[in-house]
Amino acid sequence: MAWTAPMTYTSNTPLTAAQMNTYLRDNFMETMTAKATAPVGDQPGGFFTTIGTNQIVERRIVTARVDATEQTASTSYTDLDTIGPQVTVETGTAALVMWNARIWNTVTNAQSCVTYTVSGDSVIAPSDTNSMILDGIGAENKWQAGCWDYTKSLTPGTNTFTLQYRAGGAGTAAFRSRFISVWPL
Amino acid sequence: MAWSTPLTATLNGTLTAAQFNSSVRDNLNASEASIAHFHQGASVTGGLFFATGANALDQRGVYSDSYTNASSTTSTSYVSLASAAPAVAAVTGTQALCWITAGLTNSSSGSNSFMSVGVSGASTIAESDNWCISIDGLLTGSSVDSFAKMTSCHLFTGLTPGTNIFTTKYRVSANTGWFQNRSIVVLAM
Repeated sequence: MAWTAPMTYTSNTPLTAAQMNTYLRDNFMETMTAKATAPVGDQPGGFFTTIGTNQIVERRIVTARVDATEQTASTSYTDLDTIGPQVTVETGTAALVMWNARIWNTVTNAQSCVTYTVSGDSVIAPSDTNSMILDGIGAENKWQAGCWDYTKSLTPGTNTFTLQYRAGGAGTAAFRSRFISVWPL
Repeated sequence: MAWSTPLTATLNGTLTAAQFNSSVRDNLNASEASIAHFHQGASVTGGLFFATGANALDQRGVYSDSYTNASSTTSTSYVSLASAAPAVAAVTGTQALCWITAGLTNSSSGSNSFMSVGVSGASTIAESDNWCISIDGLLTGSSVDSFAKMTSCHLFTGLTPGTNIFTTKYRVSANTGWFQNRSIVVLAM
């Protein structure tokens, strides 16, 4: 069923069943209320966004968290022992991605970096362009902060967002309290 | 009034008042246009709609507060600062996304400063290092120097629906922590 601009009724003109179905029944079925579904588990309830003219769809904000302290000496983005955190969600062509972590390095003035990658119907490689980077502080000094990115180059469908990590070449980058939130649009 | 699947009209069928009320009146009253209202007060726009169940919506929104001037603490457990928090009272369902932002520093380069957020009111959730922003190892700071500004996001779950108060709190590992340009944003869901 699709939305149809409601007809303009005129005096003394019968309202047919077909008109009732098209302009009332079918249009009601295109409203947020008709499309609303119950929240799943501990994830937030759906919100609504437009996907075209007179078209809306319910999307779900998804989040995931990994608290374990893990580390890497890899200078290219990689998974830690516990992959992620990671979320899989239905998206359109865009999404708002937010992430936090506590970050440090085993040596002074060495980089520790965390960003996201996308797999599934889309493939977006991790990049320093939108990474959260810690640098220039002392060994074992810990910072906890967040970062965000808006991507509009997704292939609509099922996409998996995963945090990945790298070190800067010297020392070992360490991470804990890792969190990701994705708003599919 | 709750939503019900609109009836399918049939040729030569009779549309009763009860059917009209159920399929048209009640469904219109359950729609977003009927629910929509100013988000806060009499003029603030920006309400958002979230599904609260099958065929059920409610309007939620974004709340924010901020405070510019630098304030300090020497407390090693989370406390409010002498000046305004910031804090917001938000009408939520069972969940809310919360962002906190501030510039942080410490009077000693070897000490940490932390900012977190806790919940009171309809729910009680203590502030925690698990969702804080924090610095460590900055150059020695003061009320006017060596601030690093950062932000963090946390999803609060298990809230009791109603008015929940999100209040920022602060602590240090040692020495004096300074905090400036503090803000909180809550998306009630």
